[in-house]
Amino acid sequence: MSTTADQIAPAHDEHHAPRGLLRWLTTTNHKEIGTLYLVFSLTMFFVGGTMALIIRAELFQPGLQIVEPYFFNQMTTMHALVMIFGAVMPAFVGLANWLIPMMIGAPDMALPRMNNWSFWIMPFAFTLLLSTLFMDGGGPAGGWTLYPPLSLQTGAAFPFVILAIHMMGVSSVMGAINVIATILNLRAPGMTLMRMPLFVWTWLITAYLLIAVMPVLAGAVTMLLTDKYFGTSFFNAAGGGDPVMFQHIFWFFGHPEVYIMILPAFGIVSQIIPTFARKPLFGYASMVYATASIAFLSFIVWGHHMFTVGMPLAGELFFMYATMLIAVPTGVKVFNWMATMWRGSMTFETPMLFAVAFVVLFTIGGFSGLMLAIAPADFQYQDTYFVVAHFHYVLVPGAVFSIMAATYYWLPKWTGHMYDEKLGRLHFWCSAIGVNVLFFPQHFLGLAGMPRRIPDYALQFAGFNMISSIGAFLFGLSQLIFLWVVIKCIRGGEPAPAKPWEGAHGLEWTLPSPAPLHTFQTPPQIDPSEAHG
Amino acid sequence: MAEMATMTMSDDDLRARQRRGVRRTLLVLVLLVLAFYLGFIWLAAQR
Repeated sequence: MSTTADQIAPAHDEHHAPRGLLRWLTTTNHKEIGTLYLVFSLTMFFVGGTMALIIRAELFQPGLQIVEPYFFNQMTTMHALVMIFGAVMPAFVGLANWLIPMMIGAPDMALPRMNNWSFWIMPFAFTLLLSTLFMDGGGPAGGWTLYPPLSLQTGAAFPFVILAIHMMGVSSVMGAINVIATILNLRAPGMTLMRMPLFVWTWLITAYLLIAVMPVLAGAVTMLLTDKYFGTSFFNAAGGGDPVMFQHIFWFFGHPEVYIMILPAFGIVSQIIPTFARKPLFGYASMVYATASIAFLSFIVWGHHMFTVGMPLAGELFFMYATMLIAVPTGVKVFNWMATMWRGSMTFETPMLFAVAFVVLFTIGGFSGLMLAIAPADFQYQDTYFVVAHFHYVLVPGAVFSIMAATYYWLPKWTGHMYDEKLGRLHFWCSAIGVNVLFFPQHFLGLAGMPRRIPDYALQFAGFNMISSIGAFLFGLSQLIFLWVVIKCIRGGEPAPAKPWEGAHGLEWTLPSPAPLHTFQTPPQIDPSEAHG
Repeated sequence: MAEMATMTMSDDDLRARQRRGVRRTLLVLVLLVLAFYLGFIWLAAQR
């Protein structure tokens, strides 16, 4: 029997709510769980970032300077797992928790107890995952893609890594079920699907992607486990299996996973740009259809990750053209963001700076993605730093910048204080310069043939690697400014009005700042002109 | 039409309707997750 939001609401009345640590352990309130997710995500961002800096410190110069090659491989593997499953995905789930109920006029998430459970699985999963670094034989070192037979050579850590991935998957799936159940059932009367804010739409579609692909990852890693310990041969050629089949299954999960990390970012940017352009979003309906098209296409392009495994020509052509097709709905989105800004009364507060940088820099990642989609050219790019540059452009100034934009945008609503605008802008410029110095030279390294996932390299790659590492430290250190801005804003500052942004629209801005613990216990009246701006 | 109906409902009726909807959604999604998980392992085993 499920427990729904309105049954739970009286149970955490302020008078009876536990205090201290127990409050956070037992909370079923969407705002508190959202905060937990965001704090967890920021912590993991710094853990994963430290790993990235270890990688870049080693690559500052050719030769082996700082870490053993095997530890370097553990760092590349763990950095990816921590950033994807620990930083980016939980940040979006945290934002969903905070914002979706407020945006659709619901009192809470549809399944609040499950919400609590889906968060509290995460710290255990990541403690387990990170603890493998201290086990005999070290942590996983075969890359986050866990390709067999290499990943099966992991030492004692292997079953712990598989369990940790299962736990992350269970958490994500529960979060996705909650998002879908909330959006489909708890919208205030009058909040039709086509009146929902774009952030809610993109999360609804993302949640369906999660439901479809997280079980596929779980299936793949379950099969790895049975291959290693229970004598099956799913991926063992000697037993009649096929290691390439793992790659097909993995990337059937892995490509939609990319969109799981970018569709909510599209939603955030679609909320922020109209606010600071002081114009309604251009082409709302086309944004919704473009998001749905991208989600559909994400299921039929997985083969572009494995052009070099030796698939039939027809397969290469299919995956190549299907991948290129994604540029069409993505182009629609970029066009709509630019059309929204066109002749708008724009101002460039920190959220807008991050949002505009997102549009420009994500598009660079999109273009290098198109280059990689060309099958014959991909034979040259496969497993080079060009790929590293491409996906980091999509994920760092893409997904991560959108999360930072969202934090600055909604921080006044969460804390009741305005953040320090000067420090915010300083954080933006250091990050924007740092990220380009860090990742742009990696395109050149890749085109010149430097392979990814290596701790040492030939002398001709030294210059660009040094520049890239300097950018990494600039970007990494500038995140301390972000941490300081957030802490400072939580502790105090100029009181924030209910609607701190002149051009903002949507139900969350009708609430006082900080938003009270319980909101929309009685469904609000929806003003169609205010619904999605 | 369904949207119009919710506009005129009492709060209690609205909440009851939402509860039923949440349970139905939960059931369908859990079944979907199980189908994807077991389905892919079954497909891989057919090879």
